[in-house]
Amino acid sequence: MLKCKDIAHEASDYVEHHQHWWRRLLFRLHLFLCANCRRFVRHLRLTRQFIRRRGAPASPQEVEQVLSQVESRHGGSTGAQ
Amino acid sequence: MSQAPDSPDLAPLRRQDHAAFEALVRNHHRPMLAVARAIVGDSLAEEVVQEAWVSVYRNLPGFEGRSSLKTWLFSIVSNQAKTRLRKEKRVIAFDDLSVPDTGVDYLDSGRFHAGNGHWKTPPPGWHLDSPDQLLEQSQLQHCIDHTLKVLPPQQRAVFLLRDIEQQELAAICNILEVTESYVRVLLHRARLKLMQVIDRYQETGEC
Ligand SMILES: [Zn+2]
Repeated sequence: MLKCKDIAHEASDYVEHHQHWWRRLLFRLHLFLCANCRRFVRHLRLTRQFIRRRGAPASPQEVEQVLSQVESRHGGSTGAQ
Repeated sequence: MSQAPDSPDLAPLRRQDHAAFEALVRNHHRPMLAVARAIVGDSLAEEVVQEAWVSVYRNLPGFEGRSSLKTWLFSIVSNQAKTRLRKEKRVIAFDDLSVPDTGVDYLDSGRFHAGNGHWKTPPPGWHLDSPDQLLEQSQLQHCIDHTLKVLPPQQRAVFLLRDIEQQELAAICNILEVTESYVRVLLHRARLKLMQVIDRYQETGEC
């Protein structure tokens, strides 16, 4: 029987299907019996979905810096407008 | 907040269209920078990534799409960074695992009962519990940005590559020259840190 502590350590491997099938089965059995761990795994999934959707866009200053660097190296403006 | 982009239209990029290139930079600069930092360290990363963008721009017309655009971008910055590292003849030792990981207390043994390994402090409930609800919280966005900024370099790179850029673990190993088991450890730590930021936000409305 897995412990909650094991669940906390291996939850990423579980949500990404990186466990051996036997380990996965034990994991699911624990989740079936333990509401705290179900919540933990649900929050981990939700965290990933949320972060995925928000992305990590660069600031306008960062973008500007790259564009001016590229322009200066190409002796003109970047591409057709 | 803008959506994480999937596959942009390649034709305008091959023409080196300004708007298309600008969007490419906006959406991928942060992960590219994270890759550079994880390989060459903070002081050289900025320069390496600027160099990488110049090379991306120059080579876009010839990009054939045999690999995905993202994979191509990351391989350019990774190669650029590795070349730079060799030139500098410097060894940048990263040992993220030896950095005391304050704030990953989901992995602290103190969080569990010593005997049976059950939760001593179970995960708190979330009143905002859909991605949409979370996306509406501007203070939370700020907290997440801050946390991403202070993650150890390799953890940050692995996290951005996997959870935002959706790169395969094997690809991440190549980009950063680290083992898969190490990638998985870093990834899990980064996710739990962000999860705790959300825990705290749900409880206090602050970072
Ligand atoms: Zn449990």
